[in-house]
Parts: sequence; structure tokens; C-alpha cells
Amino acid sequence: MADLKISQLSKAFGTIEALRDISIDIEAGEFICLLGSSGCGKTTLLRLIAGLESHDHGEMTLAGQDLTAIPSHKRGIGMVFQSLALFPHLNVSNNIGYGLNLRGEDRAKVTAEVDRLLGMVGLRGLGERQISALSGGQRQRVAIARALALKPQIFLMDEPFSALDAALRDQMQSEVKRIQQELGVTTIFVTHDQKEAMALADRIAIMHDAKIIQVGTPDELYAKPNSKFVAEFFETSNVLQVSVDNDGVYMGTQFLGARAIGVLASGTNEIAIRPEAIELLKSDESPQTPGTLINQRRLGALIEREVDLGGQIILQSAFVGQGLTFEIGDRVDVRMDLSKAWVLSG
Amino acid sequence: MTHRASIMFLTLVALFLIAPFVVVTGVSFGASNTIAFPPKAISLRWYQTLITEPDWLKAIGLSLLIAAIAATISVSIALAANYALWRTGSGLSKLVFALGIGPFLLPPIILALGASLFWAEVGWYGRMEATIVSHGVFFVTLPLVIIARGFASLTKEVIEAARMLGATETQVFRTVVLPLIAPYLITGFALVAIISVNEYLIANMIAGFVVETLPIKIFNNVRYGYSPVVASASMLFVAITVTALLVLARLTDLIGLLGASKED
Amino acid sequence: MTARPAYGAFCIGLFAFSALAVFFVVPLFFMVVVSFYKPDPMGFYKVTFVWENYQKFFASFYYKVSLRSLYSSALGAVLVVALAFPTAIAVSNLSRKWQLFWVILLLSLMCLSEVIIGFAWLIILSESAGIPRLLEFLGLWTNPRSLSPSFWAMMIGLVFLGFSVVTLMIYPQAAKRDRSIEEAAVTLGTPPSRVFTKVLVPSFRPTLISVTLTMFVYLLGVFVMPTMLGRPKDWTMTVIISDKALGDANLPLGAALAVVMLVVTAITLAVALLAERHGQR
Repeated sequence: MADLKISQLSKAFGTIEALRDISIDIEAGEFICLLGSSGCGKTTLLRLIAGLESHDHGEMTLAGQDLTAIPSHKRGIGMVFQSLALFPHLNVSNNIGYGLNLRGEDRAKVTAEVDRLLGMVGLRGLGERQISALSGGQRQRVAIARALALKPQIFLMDEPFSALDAALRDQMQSEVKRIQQELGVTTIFVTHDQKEAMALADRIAIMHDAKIIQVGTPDELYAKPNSKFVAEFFETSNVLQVSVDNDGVYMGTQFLGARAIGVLASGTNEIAIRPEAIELLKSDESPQTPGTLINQRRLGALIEREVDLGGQIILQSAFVGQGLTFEIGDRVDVRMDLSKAWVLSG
Repeated sequence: MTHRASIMFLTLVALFLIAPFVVVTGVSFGASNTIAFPPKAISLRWYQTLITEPDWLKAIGLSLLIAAIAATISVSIALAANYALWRTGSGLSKLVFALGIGPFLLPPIILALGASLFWAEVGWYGRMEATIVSHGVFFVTLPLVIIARGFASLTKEVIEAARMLGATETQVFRTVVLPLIAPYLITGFALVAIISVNEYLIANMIAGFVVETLPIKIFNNVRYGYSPVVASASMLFVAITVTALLVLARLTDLIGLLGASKED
Repeated sequence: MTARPAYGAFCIGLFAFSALAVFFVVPLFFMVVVSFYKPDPMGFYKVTFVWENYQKFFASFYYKVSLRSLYSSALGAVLVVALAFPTAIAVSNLSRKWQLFWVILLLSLMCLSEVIIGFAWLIILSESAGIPRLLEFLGLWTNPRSLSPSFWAMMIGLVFLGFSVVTLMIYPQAAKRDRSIEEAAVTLGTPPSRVFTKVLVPSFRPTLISVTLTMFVYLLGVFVMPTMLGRPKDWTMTVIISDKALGDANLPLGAALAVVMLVVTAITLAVALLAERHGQR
């Protein structure tokens, strides 16, 4: 296993910029998710690593070796395509053993290896089946086994589960995680589904507009998104446009709270604040920051509420039984713990 | 059109299309020396004549031989043109495609006259090889279009998957492309073979007086006083053509190949 | 795939190109050249440059033959499309099993030799085996004669020949058409019996025009039907060309006539293409 270093990689298709100055170091054995909406360049990055496209500028090295001149099939890469790209005319075993057969390995060895892979992905006994006779989940497993058959150093997956229903997707995610940990193979997984990325990745690279805008562990990204885009992507932080002066912090004319020393500079800021750093009070006690409760729902042990604060919808959450209870339509007073807010970079 | 009217219309059309062959079948099973329908007595004598007279047997053999080789040539050209277009997308391969549509659109007499002048100049006038090559080239349009559908059905990712697993260009072609387009190749081959077996004008103008194929022999028989053996020869033809198409329908999705599937 | 020079694929493309260029384009080109040679009663032709073959065409009998060919082909094409279009629509409304039956029937007829179709009609129109005999049997015709050769016998042959081709050309589009338009028309008050003329014919107009023109060119090239079912005065250009080339061995004249036909064909096809392009807009 070896680490993959990518620095200042750029790629354009005609006048369309697909990737701009991409730099990321991926450690051996790491599970990285490239997360972003469609058209952000995540698939292009995957295809550059796979050698299916060539880049315009920048460098890629695998274990210190420059990848540029190495053709796709010699890079030690296994890939699961979005369409899976199974060979419809071959049965399961011949799909999985395709690469081994091309290498001219002897028959007994190929059979043994294919059997081992079938066992690993949970398809033992289905080797003779035609691809058309398999369920969606079984096809995914064949694609995974085929990609891993040549013992790749890097395992790439391009939104492989986007066509599966939710239950099956959960099951396949844990399978992939298990197999990846068993083999310890460096894995790069492209997805547009943040829950999937959170469930799988050691680290997530968030891509937007041809760039990587933040890389971090799921916890880091969840706790401290560095930009409005990431914060909104995770849908877990409130993003507020605020102005700060010596007296306090305001959103428009709405007073939010006293200025927390050392956190906010004077002037206009874009800040993020997590729902649990907000508290709701009955408005008649001290109507400093009045809002209206427009929605609330239980999420397990949490209650999540939406408050209309002068036109801006704010997400607030608290554990059930902690704090006061409200009815939809109640006037509430919003208290923010601004010492827990942070400034977004852009 | 209401449903019932449309079914009645189709029935009439089917009658119009099939009736001539019912009559020819009747004549071919007749026992008399003259053409008569309905036959006064049933006999297989004209089929017997057909498969025992060396003249007729030779014509059948020649026709089948020409058709088999011509279809091979046609499918090779169509496959080559499609592969080049698929692999390179170059202007040359698009030109080949445009040229390949040409023979289908031009009246056969023009092709036939051009070919006979050409072969006379080359020195192959009156030779079977000339008929074979001309049939092979002139009937390229159908396989060209059908095989193009085959290549369109190949997804880019399947090819990339094969490349990533170490297949060379040749191996990709042999292990992935060829098996996946095989039904289209078979269909193209069968159609060219059927058309070639049935073709009269080109075969006649290139080498008709020496290489007497079945259609040429039937035509000459009809022209210079005919006997019911012509009817049995015709029915043999109909049988070959329909059987070939039925086999094809079992092997492939004919409706889909015509481009008439909804999901296309 | 990374863009690498594909010499192999280029050579393969070159093979296909050469085959078509040498055995399709060169013969056509050579035919044009021969049309300017001087006929030689002793051999094939003399290599010179003369206009006389074309002068012969415009000055005489051939000119009239061509006009007659144009007339019978045009009439045939219109009749074929008028019959084939409703058939294609009706077939596309059948169950898949019956659609397959029709596809096989039509493909068989399309592939079947002109010679055999001509022969079949020759028999069915003859006094000893066909329709005349049936009419006699039914007491409708006391002294039956053969119905061929005649202009209408030839016409039936032409229509029969073109029918399968045109139906198969229209059928894919008919099968894939958006049926909701017809349903909408019915719900808006068009009687089901008039959906065909009010909705289908207008929406297929560009296709119908281009198919009619293609069929016109196709029928122009038919050889067997006029010779088998038509009278000598019904003979078309195709028969005359073949006659000049094979019978009289006057190849330059045959070539000149073929070139004229090529030009007519090219113009017609260009118009058909324009009609289709125009319809797609």
C-alpha cells in the first residue's frame, strides 16, 4: 500500500474548467470520500487518478512514483464504475476473473482466486450465474470483486450505490467498509450523498466548482465547516449574515446577543452557529430577540425546531426534556451562545 | 381508424401480399405439364426435377456460394467502417459511412451498368468473383446501419473497465466488443445473404450469361417459355428466405434491430 | 480512453474506404467517362470525347421513354405510400407477437427476388391459373383473357414490390410515435375514424414526403416488373438501359442514359433530404 500525493492538478474540457489546483495527500490505507454535487469535478478527479483522462497541469505521485506516464492498467488501480460496467456476455466468475485470465494465469489458480473473491463479497455459489439474472445488490458485489481481483493499491468507486434503494444502500455501505478494512486498501469513493460520506470515510474532501474547498474527518466537517457552502451542504449549522459593533451582534436590526470577546471582529461577518448552541425562551420573560416557532419534530432523543426570526429561518435543537416546551405558533425569545459561533471564510 | 376497421384493412393487405404465393404453391404441386391453378392432381414431380436436374442444382449452388461470400465481404466492410468510426470518430470514417449509404439509394441499373463497365475494364467481366465483390460492396448499407446500432449499444464504461483490467486494444475487441455486437453481425450477414440470393439485375449485367444464378435462371425460363418447375424453384426460394428470417427472429430481437422499440 | 493515435483503427477505416471507393465510386465515375465515348459496333467503344450520346437522348425516343418512366414511378410511389402508411400505423397498434409476424412477412417480401414476385403475379393474372379463371368460375367473366401484360399489371407489380420497403421504412417511427397526441385529439372531440387524416397524416407529413420521393427513385430502377408484366410501350428507362448495354452492346449510349438517370435520382434525393430536414425543424 502506498500513499497518493496530488498537487495543483488542473483539467479543462475545452473552455470548461473541470478541476482547478487540486491538492490532496491520501495516506496508505485511508478511506477518502470525494463529496460534492453533480458537476463539481469529483468524477473527473477520480478519472484522472484512474488514468482514464490526462490532466493539463500539476502532479500525481503514488509511493513517490510519477503516475503521469503510467498507463491506466499499470497503475495498480481497481475501479467500480457508476454504471458498474459489468460485461453482460460473461457470467459472474468470468467477470471477476477477466483481468486474471488476460494475464494468462493458469486455470486452477484463477478458479481458486475467483472463489476466494466470491466468498469475500458474499456471492459464494453464484459464479455460474449470468449478470442479467442478478439483483442490483449482487451486481454491485460482482463489480467490487472484479475491481479487487488484481489486488490494486488503490480502490476507486464512482457513486456505485446511487441507483440502490435506501435499505440496500446501507447494507452495501457496511459491506464496503468491512472489505476495505479487511484488505486495508487505500480507497477513494465519490458520492453526492453526505450521509454516505459520513458513514464511510476516514476523511472527506468537499468539492465545489472544480475545487476542493475543505478536507477533514467527518467530525471536523460537521463541527466546523469553513464556509457557507460546506455548512449548508451538511445542513446542520445556521449561517447568518451579521454586523458587529461594540454593543453587540445584530442580524439586520435584530439584536442577537452580546459580543463575545475574541470571537467576532467589528463589521460585517458571515457566521455559523450550531442548532444546539441556541436556546429558546418564552417571549414574555425577556423579549430581546423575538421570533415565531414555525415547526418542530422529534429526531430520536432530540427535538429540532425551526424558528422564523425576522424572515430568516433558524434551526434550533435540544434534548427532549431539557428546556421548555412550546407549541407551533408560539412567540419565542431566541438566545444564542455566540461564544460557540465561528466566522466563515467564504 | 377504429380498431375493427384497421384489423379488416390489415387482413385485406395480408391477403394481397400472400395470395400470389398461395397460387404459386398450388402450381408447384400440380401434376400437369402446364401452369394451372387450382391443380388437378397433386404431385412432387417439379420439386423432384428441381433437385435432380444438374442445371437447376448448379444455379442453386452458385447462388448460395455467391451469397455466402458476398455477405462475408459486406459484413467485413461494415464492421471495419463502424469500428473506425467508433474508435476514432475521424472524418474519413464518416465519409465511409456516407459512401456506404449510397448504393442503397441509387437505382440498381446504375450500379449494375457501372460495375459491368468497370469489370470489363479490369478484365473480370463475366466472372463469378466480380458478381461476388459487387454484391458484397453494393449491399453494405444494411449491415452498416445495423452494426452501427450494435456499437451504439456499447457503453464507454464497459470498454474502460476492460482497459483498466489490462486488456489491449485487440483484446478489448476480441473479448468485449465482438461478443456484444455478434447479434448485429449475424443479422447483417443474414440480410445481405438473403438479398444476394434474390438479386437479379446486377448479377445478370456483370456475369449473367456465364454465371447463371437462380433468379437469372428463373427469369430466363419465364421469358423463353416456362414450365411449373419455375414455380417449385420460386417456392424453394420463398422457403429459404422465410426460414432464414424466422431463425433470425429467434436469435435476435428483430423489432429492436429495426429501431422500433419504445425504449430505444 | 486517453487519446492515443489509433493507427490500427485508421488502417481498418482505410480498408473500408478503399473497398467502397474502388468498387462503388470508381465504377460510377468510369460510367460517366464512358458516356462520352463513341459507340463502336465492332467492339465496345472508341476512346474519344463526344456529346452525341447525350444528343441522342434529348432528340428522340429516349426522351419520351424517360417521361413515361417518371410518370409510372411517380404514380407507383404515391400508390405505395398511400397503402403502406395506414398499414404501418395499423401494424404498430398490434400486440408484439403480431408485430413480429408482420415484420417477418414484410422482411421476407422485401428480400424476395423481383423475379419471383413478378412470376407470381404473372401466374395470378394469367387466364389458366389466376384471377381471370376465378372470375370465370364465379360466372362473372364468360370469356377470360390474361390480364398481363398491361400497364396496370406492371403497376400492381411495382406497388407490391415497393410496399414492403416503404412499410418497413415508416414502421419504426410509427411504433415509437407519441400516442398521447391521438388520445388528446379524441378527448378534444375528433371522431376516432378521423384521427388518421386529422392527426396522423399531418404529423407524419415530412416522413411521407421523403419516403414517397425515395420510393420514386426506387421504382425508377425496377427492371423485372416492366419486362415481365408490362407491354413494350410501358418499358421504363431501366429496361432500355439494360437493353442498350446488353442487347445492342451500345455501352456509351447506355452509360449516357444511366448518367441522366443518376442526375434525376440525385436531385430527387436532395429534395427528399431537404423535406426531411425541414420537417425536423
